Amino acid sequence: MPRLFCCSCLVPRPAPGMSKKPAAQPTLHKVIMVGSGGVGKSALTLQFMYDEFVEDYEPTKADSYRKKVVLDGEEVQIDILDTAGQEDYAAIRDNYFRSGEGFLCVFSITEPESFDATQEFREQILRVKNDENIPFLLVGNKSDLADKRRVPLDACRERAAHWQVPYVETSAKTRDNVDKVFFDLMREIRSRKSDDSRATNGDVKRKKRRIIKCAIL
Amino acid sequence: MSEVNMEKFAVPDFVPERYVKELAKSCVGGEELQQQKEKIQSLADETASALKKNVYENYMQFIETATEISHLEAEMYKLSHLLSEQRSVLTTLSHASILGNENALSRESLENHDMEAERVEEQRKNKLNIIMEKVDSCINLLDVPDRNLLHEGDLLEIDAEENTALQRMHVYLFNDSVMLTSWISNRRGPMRYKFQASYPISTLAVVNVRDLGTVKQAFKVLAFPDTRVFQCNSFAIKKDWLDKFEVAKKMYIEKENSKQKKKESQEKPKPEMLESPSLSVEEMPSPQVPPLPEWLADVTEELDVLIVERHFQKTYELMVTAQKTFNTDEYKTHPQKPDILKKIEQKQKVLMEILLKELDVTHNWSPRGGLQSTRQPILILNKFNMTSQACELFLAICSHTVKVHVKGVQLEGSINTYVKQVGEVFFCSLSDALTEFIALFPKNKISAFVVWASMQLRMLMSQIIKQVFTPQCALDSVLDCVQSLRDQCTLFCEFGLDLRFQLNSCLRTPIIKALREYKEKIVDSMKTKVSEDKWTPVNMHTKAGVNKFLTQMESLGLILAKYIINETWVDLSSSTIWFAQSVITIQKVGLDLVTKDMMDVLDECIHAIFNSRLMLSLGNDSSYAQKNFKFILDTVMPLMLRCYKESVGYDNEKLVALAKKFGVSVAPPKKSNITKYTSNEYL
Ligand SMILES: Nc1nc2c(ncn2[C@@H]2O[C@H](COP(=O)(O)OP(=O)(O)OP(=O)(O)O)[C@@H](O)[C@H]2O)c(=O)[nH]1
Ligand SMILES: [Mg+2]
Repeated sequence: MPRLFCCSCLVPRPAPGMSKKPAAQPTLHKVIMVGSGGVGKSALTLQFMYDEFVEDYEPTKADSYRKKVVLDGEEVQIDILDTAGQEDYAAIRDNYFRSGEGFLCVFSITEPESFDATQEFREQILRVKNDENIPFLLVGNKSDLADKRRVPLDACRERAAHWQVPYVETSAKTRDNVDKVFFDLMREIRSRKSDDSRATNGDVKRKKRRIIKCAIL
Repeated sequence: MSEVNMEKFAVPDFVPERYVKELAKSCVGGEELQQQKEKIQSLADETASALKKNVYENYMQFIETATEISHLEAEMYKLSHLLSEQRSVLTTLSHASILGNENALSRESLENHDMEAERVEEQRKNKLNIIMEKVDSCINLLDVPDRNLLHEGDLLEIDAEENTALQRMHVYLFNDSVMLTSWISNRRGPMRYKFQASYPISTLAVVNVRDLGTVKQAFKVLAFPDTRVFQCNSFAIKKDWLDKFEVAKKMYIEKENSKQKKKESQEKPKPEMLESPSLSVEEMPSPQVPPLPEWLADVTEELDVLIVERHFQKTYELMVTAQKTFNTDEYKTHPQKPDILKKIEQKQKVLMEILLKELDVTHNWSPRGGLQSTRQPILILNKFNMTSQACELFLAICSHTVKVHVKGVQLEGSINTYVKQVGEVFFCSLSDALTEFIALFPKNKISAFVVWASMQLRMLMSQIIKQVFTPQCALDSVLDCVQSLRDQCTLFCEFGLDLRFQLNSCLRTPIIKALREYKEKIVDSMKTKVSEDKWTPVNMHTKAGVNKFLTQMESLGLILAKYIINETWVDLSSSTIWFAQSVITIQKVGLDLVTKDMMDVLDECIHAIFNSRLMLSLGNDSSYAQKNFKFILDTVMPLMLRCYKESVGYDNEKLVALAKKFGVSVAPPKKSNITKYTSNEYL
C-alpha cells in the first residue's frame, strides 16, 4: 500500500488553513454511504455509530449522523450521510453525492445485482465529483453469510483493482471490519484534503501533483 | 297457580330453570302440572304458527325485496364500473394534458371548471403576492406560472460545521423551489423577513439529521455548495417539513418523467415516418405537401376520446367525415392518408367491438335501460354492415326481456288470472320488441323476428301447458286459460304477425289428452253413480236451492222448471242430473276448446260418454230409472245434437247414429226450441 504509506508520512496533522475558527470543532470528514437497497448501508452506519445491529429492514430516505472519533491520535468528526439505495431518480442522487468527500460503495456479497450496481454508482460519483481520485472504498458487506455468497471474491478484487480503490469485506452483523472501512476512508479523505491544501498553496494542479508525488516515491 | 302467558317468557332475563322450579312449587299434584305443561305446549304451537303466518304474510315482500335488491346490486355494479371507466378516462386526459402543455388543465376540466380554475389561479397569485409583501427584496414569485406554496414556517438555522445556532429563519417551500428568509429584528412597515436565498428543488437534497450531538430535531438541506442545517421546535414539525419536501421532490420527479416521455414520444414518430415507404416515395417530388387541417390530423385521438366518452354516434360521424375528406381531390394523394385511414379502420374495429359488447346480454346489458337503449349501437352497427350480428344480439336481448317480464308475473290466486297476466305480459313484450325491430332493421330481416317470436311462443307454451293441463285443473278452467291466450294472440295479429297457428299447434296435444282424460273420468264415475243411485227425486231443501239449480241447468241449456215437484224436489235422480251436467259440459267446453282438426276426438268422447250411459240403463227395470232414461234420451240427447249443429254447422254423426239406435227421432229443430235452449253463452 504505497499510497497510504505516503499519505501518513506527508500529512501528520491538518494544515493550518483548514479550520476557519480557532475555538472550532474538530475537522469534519463527510462520508457518503452508497449502494443498492438492502445491502446494509444503514446497518454498517448504525453499527459504527452505536455498536448495534438492526435486524429489521427499513428502507432509508436520507439520514445523516455525526460522531467525534480519534483518527490516528487526532480528534476528528465524521459526518455520515446514509442514502437511499432505492432512490430511483439519478438527478436527486447527484445532489447528495456533491456534498460527499469520500464514499463507501457498499454491495452485498450475497447479491450479484448489488455488485453490478456498484459500477453505476462509481460512474455517477466520478461524474458528479469530477475527480478520478475521490476517496472511495468498495465494500462487500454481509461477509458473515459466507455460505450464501454469490459474488466471488476474485471478481470483487478485480473490480477494485481496476478502479484503483481498496476492497474490504465487512459484516454489519458481527462488526467485522466495520471500523476499518470508516477509518480507512477518513484517512483517505484526510490525505486528500492535505494534498488539496498543498496543491492550492503550491498552486499546482491536483492531478499532476499526485502523479509527481507518487513518482517520487 | 300461575297463569301461563306470553309476557312471562318475553322478559329479557327469563331463565327456564327458574320458571320450571316455580311452576313445580305452585302446582298441586301431577295432574295440575300436566295441565300446565299442556298449556305451555299449546302456547308454543300457537307461537310457531303465528311465526309461520308472519313469514308467509311477508313472504312475497321478502322475495320482492330480494329481487329488487339484486337488481339494484347489478345496477350499482354497472354504475361503479362506469365510474371507474370515467376515472381512467379522466386520468389519461389529465396525463395527456401534462404531456401536451404543462400549465394547461385537462380539456374536460377547462370546459367544465373554467370559473373554478380562474378562482384557484386568483387565490394562488394572491398568496404569492402576500408573501412578496412580507419579504424584503424578495424575488418575483410570480415568474413561474404554476408555482404553489406547499409549506412555510419558522426554523432555527444551525451552523453546519460548528453545531451552533446561527439565526432565526422563515422558510417557504414551493413546489419548485425553497426560499430562505431571515427575520428582521427591528422591523418597520409590512416587511417581516429578509430574502436570503432560493434553491430550485432540482438542485436540492434533504437529509434527515438523525444524530448531531446536542442538536435535536434537525434536518439538512444540501444545495451544493451550501449545506444548511435547520432545527425544528418539535419532532412533529420536522416530520412535517420532511414530508413536504418529499412531496415537492415527487412532483418534480413526476414532471421530469413526463417531460422525458414527451421527448420520447416526439422522437418516436420520426423514424416511423422515415421507414414508411409511401412517404419517402411520394414526398420526394413534391416536398411541399399542404398540411392537413387540425381536426383531420388529430382525428384518431379525437376518435379515442369520443369512444371513451361513449359518444358512439359522433364517433361514427367523425369516421365517415374523415374518410370522405380523404377521398376529396385535395387530400386524395396526401402522404398521411394511408396511415390515418389505417388508424381509422382500427378505431372502427374497436368501436364495433364495444358496440357488440354493449348489446351482449350476457355481458353487461341491463334490462332497466329498456329496449330503446339498444337503438344507438344497432343503428351504427347497421351502418357498418353488421346487421346480422346486431339482429342476433337484439333478439337475444328481447329474449331476455321477455323472460324477465314473464318471470315477474307471480302465481297468486287462480291459475286463470296467472295465465291471463302471463299472456298479456308476453304479447306486450313481443309487440314492444316488434315495434322496435321494425324501426331498427330493414324489411328483409323480419323473417328473423318471426322465427324468433314463434320460438318464444313455443317456450312460453311449454311452460304454461305444464302448469295448466294438470288433473287438478277443471276443464272449464283449462278453457278459460286457453281462451285468454287465444284472445291475446288474436289481438297481437294487429301488429301484423299472426301466431295463432303456432299457438294452436302447441295446444293440440294437451287438449286432446285433457279431453280423453275427462271422458275416462266421467265414464268411470258414472258406473258407480248409476249403480249406487237410489232412483228417487232429489231434495233441494230450500226454495233458494231450487232456484240455484234451475239457473245452473239453464246455463247448460236445460229448462227444468216442470221437473220441480213439492216446492223443493227435482223429479230426476241424482245420477241423471250429474250425467246431464257432465255430458253437456264436455260438449259445451269441448266445442270451444278444440280446433277443427280435433273435432273427431271430441265426437268420440261425447259418443263414448253417452253410449256408456245408455248401455247402463239397459236391464234396469225400475220405473223411476226408466223415467230418467227417457229424460236422457228425449231431452238431453236432442239438446246436445241441436247445440252441436248450431255451433259447428253440421250434425254430430256419431251421436246421431247412437240416437237412432236407441229410437230417438232426430227431427230438424223447431224455431221455438232454438230460443228455448240457446242461451247467450252459446253464441
Ligand atoms: N446477515 C447480515 N445481514 C445484514 C448485514 N447488513 C445488513 N443486513 C440486513 O440486511 C437488511 C438491509 O439492511 P439495511 O442496512 O437496512 O440496508 P440499506 O443498504 O440501508 O438499504 P436502503 O436503506 O434501502 O438503501 C437488514 O435486514 C439487515 O439486518 C450483514 O452484514 N449481515
Ligand atoms: Mg438504509
